[in-house]
Formats: sequence, structure tokens, C-alpha cells
Amino acid sequence: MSRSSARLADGKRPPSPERTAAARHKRPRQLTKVELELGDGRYLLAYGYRATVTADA
Amino acid sequence: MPDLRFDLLRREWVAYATERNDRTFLPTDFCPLCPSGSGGDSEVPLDDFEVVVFENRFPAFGPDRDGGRPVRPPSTGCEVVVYTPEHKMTLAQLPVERVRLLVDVWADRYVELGSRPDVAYVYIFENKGEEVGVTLHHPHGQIYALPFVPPFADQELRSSHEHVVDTGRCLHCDTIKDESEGPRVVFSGDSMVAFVPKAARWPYEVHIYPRRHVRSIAQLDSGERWDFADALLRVTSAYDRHFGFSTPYVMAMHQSPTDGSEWLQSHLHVEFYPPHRRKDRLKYVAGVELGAGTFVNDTKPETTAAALRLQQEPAGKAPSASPKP
Repeated sequence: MSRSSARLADGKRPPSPERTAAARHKRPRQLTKVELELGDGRYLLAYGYRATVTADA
Repeated sequence: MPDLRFDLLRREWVAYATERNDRTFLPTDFCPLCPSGSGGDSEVPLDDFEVVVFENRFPAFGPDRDGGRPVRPPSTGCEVVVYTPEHKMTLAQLPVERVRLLVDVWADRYVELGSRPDVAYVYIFENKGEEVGVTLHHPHGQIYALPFVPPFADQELRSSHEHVVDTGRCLHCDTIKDESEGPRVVFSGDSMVAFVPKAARWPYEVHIYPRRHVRSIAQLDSGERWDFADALLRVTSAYDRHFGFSTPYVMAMHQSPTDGSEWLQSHLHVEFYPPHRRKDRLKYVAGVELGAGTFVNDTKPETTAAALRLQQEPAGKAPSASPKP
């Protein structure tokens, strides 16, 4: 194998089952979608459960 | 301009997209998928975001361009889905809330792209790692809105249809029943199950299924979407724990075509194909796979499933990640 995969060297660990189980009980929020147009005419969609778009594209 | 040609012998489409030959390749000093702020020169000129989707600058399918600019309304197309603004994260490292959002985004894109009259199939996938051809490391996936049903999905749909005709039951539902408590199960949850398939082509291939017969990701209810997000994290983090490094893979979502037919025999599932057969060896698609279409697997699905089951322990009990040999 000539190349190495990215290692878990940044100290971040995969989420534990306990963490995911706790989150499961949270109620889903409303999906938001904001459409922007990039300089060459392509679209960009910003998704979230809260408004995060703070810049003009 | 992308071009499609039909191979009469194989009876399959081949896509030509010559502009992709010069697409951005593993940049070291700049990431096109990181937020670059208002007026920035990345693909995401925002200060921050949660999940963004944009039209691929180098699409493999079209025809959605005229003089370099997209044609409106689009017919088919290719999208990039950026999972997070954080460059060094992976899907396995994301909080479950973000993966849950990703599930909602995939569902929204399935519905929207699938509603385009020329789109017969919405193919959602992720290539992770240079070993499977990634050209940008920032965590992201892709969506191809195809004007045809691709061959693997088509074959699955034909097989499942024949099973319905023969038995009156869904082939996928029967498979879930067989695998959810068998020797190839990776985990078995309330609404999701993951297993190494009986005839796995790849040593650590895993399929995730919703137990309920849903034809597409858009049909998952809220609880199932949480469980689906959890299942994606369980599988990808099990790979990382097992191999001890951030494991490359191809993730492929199979679901109902969007060509107007009902496709009652379709059953949503996700397939993972990691290229590693052991920590220091890759499984290559070579002569017998490419030339004959028959996979040779160096491991037994029961063995690799047992290894991945061991990694379903909490993170604190798993072996710590170490440099790859």
C-alpha cells in the first residue's frame, strides 16, 4: 500500500453508543434550507436546524 | 459537456466527462470545501454552515451546462454534500445530531432531484480516502441524479421483483429476517440492522437496512432517521476501531427509482465497501473481478462480522487508534 489513510491522530473519537442514545431522545427540529447562487450560476443550498447563513454569496 | 454512450454488449451506460480530467486533485494549501466567507474563493463562500449542497463544478452527468453556466431548470445533475465546515472530521466522528441532519438533507435531495422529469434514479454515495479515489479530504459525499436506473440497482430490483412474484414477500425483508440474528450480524437494533452479507464481495462489506419496508430515505419516520444516523455512526466507527485508523470506504445508498413507477419491491439500504482486507493490505479489483465480473474474497463474512461485532463496545473499551503499519 503506497498511501496511508488519515489516522485518528487529532484526538477525536467516534461517538459512543451512550452519546448517540442520549441524542436520540431529542426531538427533531424544523429543517431549514437557504438557496444561494454562486458566481458561475450554480446553486448552493445551506441546510440546518437553525439559520447559519451570514454571508452573501 | 458530459456525454452518455450505451454499451450494446454489456447493456449499460458509460459516462464521459472530459472536464473532470483537470478537476482539483488533493490540494495541500487550500480546501475548496472549507467555508471561505463572503466573497471567498472556495466552493462555499459562507462564514459558517451546518450542511451545504452545491452543484458539482465538474459534473459526471448532464446535459446541464450551456456556455459553462447551468441550464435552468436543470434536468439531471451532480451535487456535492459537505457534511461539516470542519476540515479534519470524518463521518464517524460527527455528532449524531449532525448525521441526523444529513439524513434529512439526503431525504430532501431525494425528493427534489427525483421530482425532475428526466431523473430516473437519485444515487447518494460517499467515497472516503485516497484508496478509493478521493480528490478532496474534507468530509463530503455526492449525489448523482441519473437519467437511468444504474445496473446494480436494476439487478437488485429485478431479483426482488422475482421474489415477490414467487413468494409474495420482499426479498430484502426476508434477508433482514435471516441476518438480524445470524452469524453475520454486526448489530441488531429496534428499527435498523447491519450485517455482512452472505455473499459479500468485499471483506468488510456491511449493509444497513431499516427493518420496516420503506422504499426510500424519504419514507423513514423521525425515530427511524435517528436510528439510521446512529447506525451509520456505529458501522463507520466500528471500522475505525477495528483497523485502528480512519478507514476508507465507499458508501452507496440503494433505494427506489424516481422514474414514475411504484417499485414496490424496493427496500432502502446502504452498502459499505471498505477496500482493506487487513490493516496492511488492500483488496484490489483486478483480473477476475474486472474481466470476468466475479469477486474473489479472501475472508469469510462470518469472520469479519464477528470482528466488527466486537467493536460495538463503548469507545472507552475499544483499543486506541495507532499509526497504520
